[in-house]
Amino acid sequence: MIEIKNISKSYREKGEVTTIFGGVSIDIKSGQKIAIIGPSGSGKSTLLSIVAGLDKPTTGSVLYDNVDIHNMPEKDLSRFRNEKVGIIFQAFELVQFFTAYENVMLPLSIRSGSQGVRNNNRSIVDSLFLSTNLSHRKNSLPATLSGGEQQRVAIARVLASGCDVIFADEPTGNLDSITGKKVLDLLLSFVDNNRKTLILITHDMNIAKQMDVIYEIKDGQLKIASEVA
Amino acid sequence: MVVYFTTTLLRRSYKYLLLTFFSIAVGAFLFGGSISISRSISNYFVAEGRTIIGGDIVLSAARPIDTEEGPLKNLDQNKVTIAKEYSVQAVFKNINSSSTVAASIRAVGDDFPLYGSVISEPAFSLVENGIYAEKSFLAKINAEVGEDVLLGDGVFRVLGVLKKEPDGVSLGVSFTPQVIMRAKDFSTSNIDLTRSRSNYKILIREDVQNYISLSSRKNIEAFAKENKIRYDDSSNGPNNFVQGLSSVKSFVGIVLAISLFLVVVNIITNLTYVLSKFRKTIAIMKTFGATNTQIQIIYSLILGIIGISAGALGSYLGVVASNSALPLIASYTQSQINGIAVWPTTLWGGVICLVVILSSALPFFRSLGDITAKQLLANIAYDTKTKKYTSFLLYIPIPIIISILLYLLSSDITLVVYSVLGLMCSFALFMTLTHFIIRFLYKIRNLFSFIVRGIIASLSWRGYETVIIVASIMTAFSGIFIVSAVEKNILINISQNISKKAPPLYLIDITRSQIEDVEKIAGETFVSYPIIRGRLLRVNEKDMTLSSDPSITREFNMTYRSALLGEEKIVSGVWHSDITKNSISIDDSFADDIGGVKIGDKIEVFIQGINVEATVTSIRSADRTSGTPFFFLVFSPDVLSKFPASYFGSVDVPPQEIAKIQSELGAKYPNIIPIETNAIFSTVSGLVDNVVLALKIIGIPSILLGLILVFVMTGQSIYERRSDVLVFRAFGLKSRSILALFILEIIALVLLAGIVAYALSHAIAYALNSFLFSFGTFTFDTMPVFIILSIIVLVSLFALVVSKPLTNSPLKNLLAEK
Repeated sequence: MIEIKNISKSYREKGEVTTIFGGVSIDIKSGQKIAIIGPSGSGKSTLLSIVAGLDKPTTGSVLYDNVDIHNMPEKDLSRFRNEKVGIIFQAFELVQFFTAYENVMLPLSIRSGSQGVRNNNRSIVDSLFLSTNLSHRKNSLPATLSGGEQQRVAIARVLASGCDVIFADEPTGNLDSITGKKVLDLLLSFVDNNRKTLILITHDMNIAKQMDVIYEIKDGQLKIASEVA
Repeated sequence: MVVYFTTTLLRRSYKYLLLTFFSIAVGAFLFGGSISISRSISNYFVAEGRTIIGGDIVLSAARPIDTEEGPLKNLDQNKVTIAKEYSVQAVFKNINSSSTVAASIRAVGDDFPLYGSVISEPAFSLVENGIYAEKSFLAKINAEVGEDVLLGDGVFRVLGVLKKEPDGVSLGVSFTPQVIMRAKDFSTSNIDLTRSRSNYKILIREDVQNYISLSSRKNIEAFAKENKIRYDDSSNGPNNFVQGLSSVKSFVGIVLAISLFLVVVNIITNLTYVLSKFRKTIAIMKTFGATNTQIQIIYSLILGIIGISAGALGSYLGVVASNSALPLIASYTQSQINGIAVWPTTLWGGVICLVVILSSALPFFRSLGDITAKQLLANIAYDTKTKKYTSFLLYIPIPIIISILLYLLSSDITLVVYSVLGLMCSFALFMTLTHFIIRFLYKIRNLFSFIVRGIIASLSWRGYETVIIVASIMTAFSGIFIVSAVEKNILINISQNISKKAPPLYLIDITRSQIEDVEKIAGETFVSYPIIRGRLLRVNEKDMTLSSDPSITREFNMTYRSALLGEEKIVSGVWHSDITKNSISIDDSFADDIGGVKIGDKIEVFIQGINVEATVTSIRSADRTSGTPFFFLVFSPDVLSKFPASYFGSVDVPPQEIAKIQSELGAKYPNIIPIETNAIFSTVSGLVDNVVLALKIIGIPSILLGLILVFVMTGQSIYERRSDVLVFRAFGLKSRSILALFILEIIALVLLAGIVAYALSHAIAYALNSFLFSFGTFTFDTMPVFIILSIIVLVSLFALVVSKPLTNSPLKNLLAEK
């Protein structure tokens, strides 16, 4: 479903070219859970940003269902980000002036639509709040939520979009171990129950071991570290 | 350490403080300019006072002043010169043609002028039966220098063109050209002064310096006040100018208060932005051992440098600009008005702005103290909207500073109290209104599209910051909108009233014996109204002479008639007719002004030395826009017909017949003054236009400061929402939609402020129209709409430019490793 074909990423600084990684090719099947690990500064997030359509590769292409996302016009790329992929950030990145409810509704609001669609959206969001045990915090602003609650809202936001592929950039990086485990369990249960594809960045091997495939970026190269049959 | 970090942080952060710099500079410009003009004119009055008013002390009244009365008789004739003169309106005629011209004649004594000199061409030298006249006089009468003209029975030679009288500025506005002649020559005209519009003056010159002591001056002033004589003292300047300058100072003071307030709001808002930008830097400094005091000193120095430099620059430009503008004012006064020294005001401006910026920054300094490393570096969510109520105490110095600065300008404590209180109250009102509007919109936000919901949510989330900024913009707009709306309505009503309804020609100072003849000359449209001048003494037992309101204690034009005019309506009581004796009909608004007069009340007036009493038998209202003469008090004929009266007449003829009537009347009755109503309108509207233009120019800084505030708010909003923007984009919102989000938010704020200010200004204009001026026409002013639209365009462009980098910013910045 996702084909990453020979992508590389370099940047130029003061006349010198630095290559972050090169020759990365992966095929990701629908419903697969993938972890990308590597030392700090190895290019994990850069790779994720390219695959998620947030950044362009220096060379190579990323195909979703045979469509190269980096050759899309801006309008189509926006729709792609709204409907096909969802991102969970380490720093939660909730919109500060929206309530928890409005944050979860965000991708659906951007999509807009008729009154009937809006009614349907509300029921989707309501059920997500129930699933994440956050119904009592629907009308709270992010600043009043704990880290775990904010990340659960962020997860619900991604799920509300109905996307097929979820990218998680160190989703438990800002949480303590107990909260982080709860958040991860919630994420994984949603991914498994709804057959989503998950691409997760982490430096925690315990988390990585829960994925189907572990890739490691090291010295500018991506290799499989382990694979669950 | 302090110096190093001050210079480093100043270099790094100066661009974020540019708008603070500009707003302080604009405020200082207005302050420096106002102080400069005010002091220059005051200095001019002090230095040239004697010349301006024509003597050390000048007394003037509508009747001859007896120098053998009161403290005047005690003046040593060897130590003072007392000159007498009078002025009268009369009509001159060309000897060789039918041309006539009404003129303001100044009949002077041999000592004229006591101070200064008359500028004329050729040089001023009054001889027997000679006159000097303004150029417009010669143009209207078709005469040249050296030719003879007629005034009544007298023949006078035009000796020269009058260009400037030394005390011309104190003579006020005249609709007729000026003429100077000797008082003893005027009698050859055989014009009866008692039947003409005349004014008498006593001008006193100290031949021994400081001969007239302060207590003597006070005695003379008290004597003048007691006898309803106008008193002008050279140490103060002419009363009308002093009053005029005081009124202008009041308005400028109010605008200055608004502008200073906006400067303060700009500073506070900008510093909030700086705080959010440098919060991490400050936290890191504290992590490595910098104390609160050190950081506060560093920022005090940074803000001090900005305050002093911006204040000095603005004050310098203000003084230079006002010194450049003085020749314009001087051309009106026909004098040389010197500007004040630039550098002392520049330095003071810098010092004052230093105080302003440091006082405004008190909340900022407190916030600096609240920053801790733990708060920032651990990325802990905290409730940013929790503010201690005691923090509002830090804003108290602001109205105190504004009050002090206003007092420096006006030296009027009443003005300061009213202006600052008025500003605080209206600002509080605007804040309350804004708060409830935003709260209401927040409650119904789900009815709107995503973009609008986002805007409303953002405005609501920013809480009191939004409220303060919108209320500040409302305050900035309101001042200039009110002036504009009131001016528009005054001019519209004047033009409508005079052009449509008023007769084109008025005739003043017609005597009883002349009425019949004037009627024949003027034609069947001629209407006359007898006028007797008198003062209000009592209403029942209430002594009206003790009133502090000069509009009640002054002399009135009273009249008598038995018929009600077409535009009058009886509000209560019964109109007197030929049968009712000893009756008076009073205007309804005047009845209220003098304390609520009822039917049956007794009114006593003082007319030509006699007390006259009448009973109120009716209260009437009149259409003051009708163009017919309006009188507060109309007596039944039996009460006043025995008194000598002059007559006021109106003639409603086509324009081409006016000249003929004027010529005939001028030849036969030179004491009758014709006034074309168009001349009144053009003079009045010209005056109003000039005054309002000056007021609008003075009001521009407040609009400018409001604009800067919007820019500051826009920049800050875009900066604060940068991560939100990235999230929106990550979830598929298009760049265009994001731009629309910012632009629409700014437009919404400007529109909200503009609409409220527009509504308020027109409510005030309507109230003034209806209750003060009694105008019949109300019209909406379009100028504020242009201002609002222009500002919207400007800030939209600004938002577009500032938010472009954000919409193009790489989304990967959201990720953990960038």
